[in-house]
Amino acid sequence: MNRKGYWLVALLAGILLANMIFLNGVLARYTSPTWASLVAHGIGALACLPLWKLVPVGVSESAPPPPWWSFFAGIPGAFTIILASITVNSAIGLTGTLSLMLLGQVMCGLVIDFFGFFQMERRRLTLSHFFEVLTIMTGTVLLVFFAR
Amino acid sequence: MEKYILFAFLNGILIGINRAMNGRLAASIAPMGASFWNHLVGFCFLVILVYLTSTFDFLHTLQEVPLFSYLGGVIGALFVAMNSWVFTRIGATRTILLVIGGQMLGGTILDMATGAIKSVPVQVIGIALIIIGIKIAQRSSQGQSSS
Repeated sequence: MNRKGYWLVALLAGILLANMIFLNGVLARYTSPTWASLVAHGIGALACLPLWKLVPVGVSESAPPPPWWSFFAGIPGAFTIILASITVNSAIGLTGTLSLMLLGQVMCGLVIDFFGFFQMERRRLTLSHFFEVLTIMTGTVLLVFFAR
Repeated sequence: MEKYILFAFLNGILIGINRAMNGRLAASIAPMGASFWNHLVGFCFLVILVYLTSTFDFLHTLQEVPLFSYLGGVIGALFVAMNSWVFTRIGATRTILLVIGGQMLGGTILDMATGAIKSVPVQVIGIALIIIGIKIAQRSSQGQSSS
Protein backbone atom coordinates (compact mmCIF):
# COMPACT_ATOMS: atom_id res chain seq x y z
CA MET A 1 0.00 0.00 0.00
CA ASN A 2 1.32 3.48 -0.78
CA ARG A 3 1.30 6.22 1.82
CA LYS A 4 -2.12 7.42 0.69
CA GLY A 5 -3.91 4.72 2.66
CA TYR A 6 -2.18 5.00 6.06
CA TRP A 7 -4.74 7.41 7.50
CA LEU A 8 -7.55 5.03 6.53
CA VAL A 9 -5.89 2.06 8.26
CA ALA A 10 -5.59 4.14 11.48
CA LEU A 11 -9.22 5.25 11.19
CA LEU A 12 -10.44 1.67 10.62
CA ALA A 13 -8.33 0.56 13.60
CA GLY A 14 -10.19 3.12 15.73
CA ILE A 15 -13.57 1.81 14.53
CA LEU A 16 -12.41 -1.73 15.39
CA LEU A 17 -11.30 -0.45 18.81
CA ALA A 18 -14.79 0.90 19.57
CA ASN A 19 -16.24 -2.54 18.77
CA MET A 20 -13.55 -4.29 20.81
CA ILE A 21 -14.27 -2.09 23.84
CA PHE A 22 -18.00 -2.75 23.44
CA LEU A 23 -17.54 -6.55 23.25
CA ASN A 24 -15.01 -6.69 26.09
CA GLY A 25 -17.43 -4.54 28.09
CA VAL A 26 -20.18 -7.15 27.61
CA LEU A 27 -17.78 -9.87 28.76
CA ALA A 28 -16.73 -7.74 31.76
CA ARG A 29 -20.36 -7.22 32.82
CA TYR A 30 -20.82 -10.98 33.12
CA THR A 31 -17.44 -11.56 34.77
CA SER A 32 -14.96 -8.88 35.91
CA PRO A 33 -12.80 -6.31 34.08
CA THR A 34 -9.55 -8.18 34.73
CA TRP A 35 -11.03 -11.57 33.82
CA ALA A 36 -12.51 -10.15 30.60
CA SER A 37 -9.15 -8.63 29.72
CA LEU A 38 -7.34 -11.91 30.46
CA VAL A 39 -9.72 -13.86 28.21
CA ALA A 40 -9.53 -11.22 25.43
CA HIS A 41 -5.70 -11.28 25.58
CA GLY A 42 -5.65 -15.11 25.43
CA ILE A 43 -8.04 -15.27 22.47
CA GLY A 44 -6.13 -12.42 20.81
CA ALA A 45 -2.79 -14.25 21.15
CA LEU A 46 -4.32 -17.44 19.67
CA ALA A 47 -5.95 -15.47 16.82
CA CYS A 48 -2.58 -13.91 15.95
CA LEU A 49 -0.94 -17.25 15.17
CA PRO A 50 -2.89 -18.08 11.98
CA LEU A 51 -3.13 -14.37 11.07
CA TRP A 52 0.66 -13.99 11.40
CA LYS A 53 1.00 -16.61 8.64
CA LEU A 54 -1.94 -15.39 6.53
CA VAL A 55 -1.48 -11.60 6.58
CA PRO A 56 1.06 -10.83 3.87
CA VAL A 57 2.51 -7.76 5.65
CA GLY A 58 6.04 -8.58 6.75
CA VAL A 59 9.27 -6.68 7.22
CA SER A 60 12.26 -6.34 4.93
CA GLU A 61 15.40 -8.44 5.41
CA SER A 62 17.26 -5.25 6.35
CA ALA A 63 14.87 -4.41 9.22
CA PRO A 64 16.77 -3.66 12.45
CA PRO A 65 16.53 -6.29 15.21
CA PRO A 66 13.84 -5.61 17.84
CA PRO A 67 15.01 -4.05 21.13
CA TRP A 68 14.35 -6.36 24.12
CA TRP A 69 11.86 -3.99 25.75
CA SER A 70 9.57 -3.94 22.71
CA PHE A 71 8.37 -7.46 23.58
CA PHE A 72 6.85 -6.18 26.82
CA ALA A 73 4.23 -3.79 25.43
CA GLY A 74 1.59 -6.10 26.90
CA ILE A 75 2.45 -5.02 30.44
CA PRO A 76 1.49 -1.32 30.15
CA GLY A 77 -1.40 -2.54 27.97
CA ALA A 78 -2.72 -4.81 30.73
CA PHE A 79 -2.18 -2.15 33.42
CA THR A 80 -4.63 0.03 31.50
CA ILE A 81 -7.51 -2.25 32.49
CA ILE A 82 -6.66 -2.07 36.19
CA LEU A 83 -6.32 1.72 36.26
CA ALA A 84 -9.48 2.19 34.18
CA SER A 85 -11.56 -0.01 36.46
CA ILE A 86 -10.33 2.02 39.46
CA THR A 87 -11.07 5.44 37.95
CA VAL A 88 -14.40 4.53 36.30
CA ASN A 89 -15.73 3.67 39.78
CA SER A 90 -14.37 6.89 41.34
CA ALA A 91 -15.72 10.45 41.49
CA ILE A 92 -14.54 11.22 37.95
CA GLY A 93 -16.68 8.41 36.47
CA LEU A 94 -16.72 7.02 32.96
CA THR A 95 -16.71 10.35 31.09
CA GLY A 96 -13.88 11.77 33.18
CA THR A 97 -11.86 8.58 32.80
CA LEU A 98 -12.40 8.41 29.04
CA SER A 99 -11.57 12.06 28.34
CA LEU A 100 -8.46 12.09 30.59
CA MET A 101 -7.24 8.83 29.04
CA LEU A 102 -7.63 10.27 25.54
CA LEU A 103 -5.86 13.47 26.62
CA GLY A 104 -3.01 11.41 28.10
CA GLN A 105 -2.67 9.49 24.85
CA VAL A 106 -2.44 12.64 22.74
CA MET A 107 0.11 14.27 25.09
CA CYS A 108 2.13 11.06 25.02
CA GLY A 109 1.97 11.01 21.20
CA LEU A 110 3.21 14.61 20.95
CA VAL A 111 6.12 13.87 23.32
CA ILE A 112 7.08 10.68 21.43
CA ASP A 113 7.02 12.49 18.06
CA PHE A 114 8.98 15.47 19.38
CA PHE A 115 11.71 13.56 21.24
CA GLY A 116 11.73 10.35 19.22
CA PHE A 117 11.26 8.17 22.31
CA PHE A 118 11.04 4.37 21.86
CA GLN A 119 13.34 4.60 18.84
CA MET A 120 10.64 6.40 16.86
CA GLU A 121 11.53 8.85 14.12
CA ARG A 122 11.69 12.42 15.48
CA ARG A 123 9.04 14.57 13.85
CA ARG A 124 8.61 18.30 13.64
CA LEU A 125 5.25 19.29 15.11
CA THR A 126 3.42 21.40 12.55
CA LEU A 127 0.42 23.72 12.42
CA SER A 128 -1.46 20.79 10.91
CA HIS A 129 -0.85 18.75 14.09
CA PHE A 130 -2.22 21.67 16.12
CA PHE A 131 -5.46 21.80 14.13
CA GLU A 132 -5.83 18.01 14.20
CA VAL A 133 -5.53 18.00 18.00
CA LEU A 134 -7.90 20.97 18.31
CA THR A 135 -10.69 19.63 16.10
CA ILE A 136 -10.57 15.95 17.05
CA MET A 137 -10.23 16.60 20.80
CA THR A 138 -12.98 19.28 20.84
CA GLY A 139 -15.29 16.94 18.94
CA THR A 140 -14.40 14.12 21.32
CA VAL A 141 -15.08 16.22 24.44
CA LEU A 142 -18.49 17.21 22.99
CA LEU A 143 -19.36 13.56 22.33
CA VAL A 144 -18.05 12.25 25.64
CA PHE A 145 -19.61 14.90 27.89
CA PHE A 146 -22.75 16.12 26.16
CA ALA A 147 -24.09 13.72 23.55
CA ARG A 148 -25.03 10.66 25.58
CA MET B 1 -10.38 13.28 43.26
CA GLU B 2 -6.99 14.68 42.14
CA LYS B 3 -5.54 11.21 42.57
CA TYR B 4 -8.09 9.72 40.16
CA ILE B 5 -7.55 12.53 37.64
CA LEU B 6 -3.84 11.71 37.72
CA PHE B 7 -4.53 7.96 37.42
CA ALA B 8 -6.77 8.39 34.37
CA PHE B 9 -4.28 10.73 32.70
CA LEU B 10 -1.38 8.33 33.44
CA ASN B 11 -3.50 5.57 31.99
CA GLY B 12 -3.60 7.43 28.68
CA ILE B 13 0.18 7.76 28.80
CA LEU B 14 0.47 4.00 29.41
CA ILE B 15 -1.66 3.41 26.30
CA GLY B 16 0.61 5.72 24.28
CA ILE B 17 3.68 3.82 25.55
CA ASN B 18 2.03 0.48 24.71
CA ARG B 19 1.31 1.67 21.15
CA ALA B 20 4.87 2.96 20.65
CA MET B 21 6.45 -0.27 21.94
CA ASN B 22 4.21 -2.32 19.65
CA GLY B 23 5.01 -0.01 16.75
CA ARG B 24 8.73 -0.48 17.32
CA LEU B 25 8.38 -4.28 17.52
CA ALA B 26 6.21 -4.36 14.37
CA ALA B 27 8.99 -2.56 12.48
CA SER B 28 11.29 -5.50 13.24
CA ILE B 29 9.10 -8.63 13.23
CA ALA B 30 5.89 -7.76 11.28
CA PRO B 31 2.66 -6.26 12.70
CA MET B 32 0.89 -9.56 13.45
CA GLY B 33 3.99 -10.73 15.33
CA ALA B 34 3.96 -7.57 17.45
CA SER B 35 0.27 -8.16 18.15
CA PHE B 36 1.03 -11.76 19.18
CA TRP B 37 3.72 -10.75 21.71
CA ASN B 38 1.57 -7.91 23.04
CA HIS B 39 -1.32 -10.31 23.69
CA LEU B 40 0.80 -13.16 25.05
CA VAL B 41 2.75 -10.99 27.51
CA GLY B 42 -0.44 -9.18 28.57
CA PHE B 43 -2.14 -12.55 29.04
CA CYS B 44 0.66 -13.89 31.28
CA PHE B 45 0.66 -10.69 33.33
CA LEU B 46 -3.13 -10.86 33.77
CA VAL B 47 -3.03 -14.55 34.74
CA ILE B 48 -0.76 -13.62 37.66
CA LEU B 49 -2.92 -10.62 38.53
CA VAL B 50 -6.22 -12.55 38.44
CA TYR B 51 -4.65 -15.37 40.47
CA LEU B 52 -3.53 -12.90 43.14
CA THR B 53 -6.60 -10.67 43.28
CA SER B 54 -9.72 -12.35 41.93
CA THR B 55 -12.33 -13.92 44.18
CA PHE B 56 -13.86 -15.68 41.14
CA ASP B 57 -17.34 -14.77 42.34
CA PHE B 58 -18.48 -14.59 38.71
CA LEU B 59 -18.01 -18.31 38.04
CA HIS B 60 -21.75 -19.00 38.31
CA THR B 61 -22.54 -16.52 35.50
CA LEU B 62 -19.71 -17.73 33.28
CA GLN B 63 -21.92 -19.95 31.12
CA GLU B 64 -24.36 -17.05 30.56
CA VAL B 65 -21.70 -14.97 28.77
CA PRO B 66 -22.93 -14.29 25.19
CA LEU B 67 -20.60 -16.09 22.78
CA PHE B 68 -20.27 -13.05 20.49
CA SER B 69 -18.50 -11.13 23.26
CA TYR B 70 -15.47 -13.42 22.86
CA LEU B 71 -14.93 -11.87 19.41
CA GLY B 72 -13.44 -8.86 21.24
CA GLY B 73 -10.13 -10.74 21.50
CA VAL B 74 -9.99 -11.42 17.76
CA ILE B 75 -10.79 -7.78 16.97
CA GLY B 76 -8.07 -6.74 19.44
CA ALA B 77 -5.53 -8.90 17.58
CA LEU B 78 -6.31 -7.07 14.33
CA PHE B 79 -6.44 -3.68 16.05
CA VAL B 80 -2.94 -3.95 17.54
CA ALA B 81 -1.47 -5.12 14.21
CA MET B 82 -3.06 -2.32 12.18
CA ASN B 83 -2.19 0.33 14.76
CA SER B 84 1.43 -0.84 15.01
CA TRP B 85 1.83 -0.91 11.24
CA VAL B 86 0.64 2.70 10.83
CA PHE B 87 2.39 4.06 13.93
CA THR B 88 5.93 4.19 12.51
CA ARG B 89 4.64 5.50 9.16
CA ILE B 90 2.55 8.55 10.05
CA GLY B 91 3.88 9.16 13.57
CA ALA B 92 2.59 8.82 17.12
CA THR B 93 0.37 11.91 17.37
CA ARG B 94 -1.38 11.40 14.06
CA THR B 95 -1.94 7.67 14.61
CA ILE B 96 -3.34 8.29 18.10
CA LEU B 97 -5.63 11.08 16.84
CA LEU B 98 -6.96 9.07 13.88
CA VAL B 99 -7.62 6.09 16.15
CA ILE B 100 -9.52 8.37 18.58
CA GLY B 101 -11.48 9.76 15.61
CA GLY B 102 -12.36 6.25 14.44
CA GLN B 103 -13.20 5.22 17.99
CA MET B 104 -15.61 8.16 18.34
CA LEU B 105 -17.27 7.46 14.96
CA GLY B 106 -17.57 3.75 15.77
CA GLY B 107 -18.79 4.50 19.30
CA THR B 108 -21.45 6.89 17.99
CA ILE B 109 -22.73 4.26 15.54
CA LEU B 110 -22.86 1.73 18.42
CA ASP B 111 -24.67 4.30 20.61
CA MET B 112 -27.22 4.90 17.84
CA ALA B 113 -27.73 1.16 17.45
CA THR B 114 -28.25 0.68 21.20
CA GLY B 115 -30.29 3.89 21.69
CA ALA B 116 -27.89 5.56 24.14
CA ILE B 117 -27.94 8.99 22.50
CA LYS B 118 -29.26 12.04 24.37
CA SER B 119 -28.44 15.12 22.34
CA VAL B 120 -28.45 14.83 18.56
CA PRO B 121 -27.34 18.45 17.75
CA VAL B 122 -24.27 18.19 20.01
CA GLN B 123 -23.49 14.87 18.42
CA VAL B 124 -23.67 16.28 14.90
CA ILE B 125 -21.27 19.12 15.84
CA GLY B 126 -18.90 16.68 17.57
CA ILE B 127 -18.83 14.31 14.60
CA ALA B 128 -18.40 17.21 12.15
CA LEU B 129 -15.36 18.52 14.07
CA ILE B 130 -13.84 15.03 14.16
CA ILE B 131 -14.35 14.55 10.41
CA ILE B 132 -12.67 17.93 9.75
CA GLY B 133 -9.74 16.80 11.91
CA ILE B 134 -9.54 13.48 10.07
CA LYS B 135 -9.48 15.32 6.72
CA ILE B 136 -6.58 17.52 7.92
CA ALA B 137 -4.70 14.44 9.15
CA GLN B 138 -5.39 12.66 5.87
CA ARG B 139 -3.95 15.51 3.80
CA SER B 140 -0.88 15.84 6.00
CA SER B 141 -0.17 12.10 6.14
CA GLN B 142 -0.30 11.97 2.34
CA GLY B 143 2.09 14.92 2.04
CA GLN B 144 5.84 15.15 2.33
CA SER B 145 7.90 13.05 4.71
CA SER B 146 8.54 16.04 6.98
CA SER B 147 4.92 16.10 8.12
